[in-house]
Amino acid sequence: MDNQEFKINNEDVSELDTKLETPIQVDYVIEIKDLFKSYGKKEVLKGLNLEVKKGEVFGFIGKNGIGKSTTIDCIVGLKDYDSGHILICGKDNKRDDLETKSMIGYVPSEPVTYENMTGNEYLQFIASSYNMIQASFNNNYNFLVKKFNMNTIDMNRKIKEYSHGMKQKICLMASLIHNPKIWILDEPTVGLDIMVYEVLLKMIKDFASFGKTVFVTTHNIELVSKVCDRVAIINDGKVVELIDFNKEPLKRRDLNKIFFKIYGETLR
Amino acid sequence: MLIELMYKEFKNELNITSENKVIRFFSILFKLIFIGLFITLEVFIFLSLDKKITKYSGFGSYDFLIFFLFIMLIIGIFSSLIKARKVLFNKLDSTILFTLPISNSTLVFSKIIFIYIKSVLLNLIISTPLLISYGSSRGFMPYYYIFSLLYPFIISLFIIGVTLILLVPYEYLYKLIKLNDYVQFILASLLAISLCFIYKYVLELFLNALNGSSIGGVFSKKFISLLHDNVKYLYPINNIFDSYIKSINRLSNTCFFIGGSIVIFVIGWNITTYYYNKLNKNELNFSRLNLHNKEKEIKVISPFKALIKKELVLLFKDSTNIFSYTALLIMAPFLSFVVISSLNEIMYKSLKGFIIYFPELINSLNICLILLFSGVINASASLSISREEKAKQIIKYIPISPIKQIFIKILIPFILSSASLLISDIILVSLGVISKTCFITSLIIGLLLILFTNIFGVYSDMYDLSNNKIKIKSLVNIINISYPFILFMIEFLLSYLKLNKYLINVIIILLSIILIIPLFIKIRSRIKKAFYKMEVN
Repeated sequence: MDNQEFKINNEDVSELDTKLETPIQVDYVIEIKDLFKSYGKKEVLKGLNLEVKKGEVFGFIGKNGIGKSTTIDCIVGLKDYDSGHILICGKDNKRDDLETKSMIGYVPSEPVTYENMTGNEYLQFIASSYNMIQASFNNNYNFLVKKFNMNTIDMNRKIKEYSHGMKQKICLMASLIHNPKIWILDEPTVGLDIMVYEVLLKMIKDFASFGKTVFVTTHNIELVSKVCDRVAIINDGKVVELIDFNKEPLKRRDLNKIFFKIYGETLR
Repeated sequence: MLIELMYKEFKNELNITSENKVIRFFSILFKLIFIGLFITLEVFIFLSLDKKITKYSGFGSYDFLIFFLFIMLIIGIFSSLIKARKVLFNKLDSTILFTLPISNSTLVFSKIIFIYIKSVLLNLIISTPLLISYGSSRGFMPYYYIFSLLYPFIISLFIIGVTLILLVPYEYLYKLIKLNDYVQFILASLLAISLCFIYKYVLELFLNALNGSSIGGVFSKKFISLLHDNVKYLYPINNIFDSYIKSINRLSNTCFFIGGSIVIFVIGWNITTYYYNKLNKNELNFSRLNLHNKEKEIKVISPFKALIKKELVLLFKDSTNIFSYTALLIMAPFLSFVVISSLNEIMYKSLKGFIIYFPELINSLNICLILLFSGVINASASLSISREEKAKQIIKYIPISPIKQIFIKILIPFILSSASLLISDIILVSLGVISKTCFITSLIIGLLLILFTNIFGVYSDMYDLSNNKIKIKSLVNIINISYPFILFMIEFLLSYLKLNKYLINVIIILLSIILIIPLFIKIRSRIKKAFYKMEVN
């Protein structure tokens, strides 16, 4: 495959249609206050507090089963939480759920789509759900199809015939088709080939450079240290470490060690 | 290793998940009781028919036995084919097995033995009891009974051989059909209609067995003589039984059959071993054959239309739903007609005495059956959140109000199921199978039941997905099965009290309306709450 196809210039994300956007007036686009969530008797989130600024790439990392995905699920509305508040651009995600949902583009950890739809049908469904106007859709569609190197034949095939990586690409495309203000990615790199992985890294950076926010959870420490402005490490249902790479750039290199130190394990 | 592999297959098949020994014991006990009851019923019907046919023709019963066993052979081949495809071309299973240090031939052999044992068991349950009853009613020699016990083992060798030869073409055909939604839909509909007619045939057979007066519609003298003329073509069943019952060329027929079965089995085994490796390691890909490189503008539609389109895709493009709901919708009018007309006929003939005491008996039964068919078919579509499978996540994060989403989830199956009910009712009333009163009553109550099921189905689906310990989803099926019978009992009682037939129908309609009303109390807030509480990851 020609690597040139994945060359990204700084204009890329601006190609996503932004005509109808309203400027964000708040300091934090995501604010989580005292979030509690339990599954039966098992308490997963125990008063989690978090603030994500506009235009930053925010990494959210932690061990398996520690509550990263639960936090994301609560933000995007997949799960109800026991107490606390989640504000998206100042709006409560329970009270103003439709408004907050329309600001978010979400990529689940496992590609989830309607597998009996074709790629085109699925994007049409998502775009229609977000009530997009035709011109914006056409513009964003063409940009994303080109960016993720999907051809017409692939887009006319049923998603169930796709490989795992292609399904992940469709999920990435669907999350961006409405040009969200906040892009939330839960383990986005699983199953992606190296070229799409590089495209994703660049898109994350570009997305943030246009004043939009990226919230990403991953096990991929390399991705976090490469693209994130700030990173939060979660343990025992709370944020235990918040690192600002702009203030402490050296910590990018030592992120692995910090991670292991928090969980009381030694890096061999 | 072979034993362990076969054990794995049986464990998967039996799907015994409960660790509780008491539950496992009762589960096995119920299965054995069911098998016992099945054999009893089968032998009863066979002996009743045997007695009747023997009266009319000396050779009729023998021909019928051969015909029945031949049908069993065909069913055996088809069921083994479906099972073999699932067991042998299972991507997940082969992903695990190919990494293990076991040869392909051992893997394939273990799976073939598993299918073989299943076929033997099926024949031991169905064919052997028939053979024993046929022999015992004629006082055959003891060696015949030994043959009856060995028959499943011999015939299964032939069945599995033919299955294995057909397996690879079937896999190719299956993959091709899976690609085309329209072909899938047409095939499912044809299959459903064929099943209806087979069901009609079996029902008539059963009713004839119960009805003591004559041979009846299925077993006419013409049919018996036609069967006799053609039974000689029913290979290999005809040859085996000619040698054991009629003592014709016993040695040569036995050698020919067993030798032939072994040859077919070995050919099938070799073909399967070769393709097991090939097809599981290389994806069959026909998709590019029918795809075109057409660029057409994708129109953004309103959220409402997008949701409707999505529901239709789920119902009409998913093979599970096509077979469990959509095809059944088409079958419902045929099924209602076949069953209700047959039952009415037998009721008029046999239960004239009862009708004096219960004048509305037939009407009540007709309403009960119409509601039962329409309710049970609709119940499979009413769990419309489960239908989303993993995509339940999507309905939670798209910015469309829960009420709008749930409304469409209720609306689509309601329209489809109501249309099927309406067509069934129109067919039945226009062909004079049911009365006009029965038509109106069954239509009104049927619509109420469909509405109730779709609302309650979607609600219970969401309720079960929240953190609640009590699960209520299974109530949907229980209500759809029990409610028609409850109404039947009420009508039965009111009929005994000699109430006017119109009054009886008004009472059960009013009762149904009263029962459905509580569902609508605070429906919006309850649905909204259940939607938000639902956890989908």
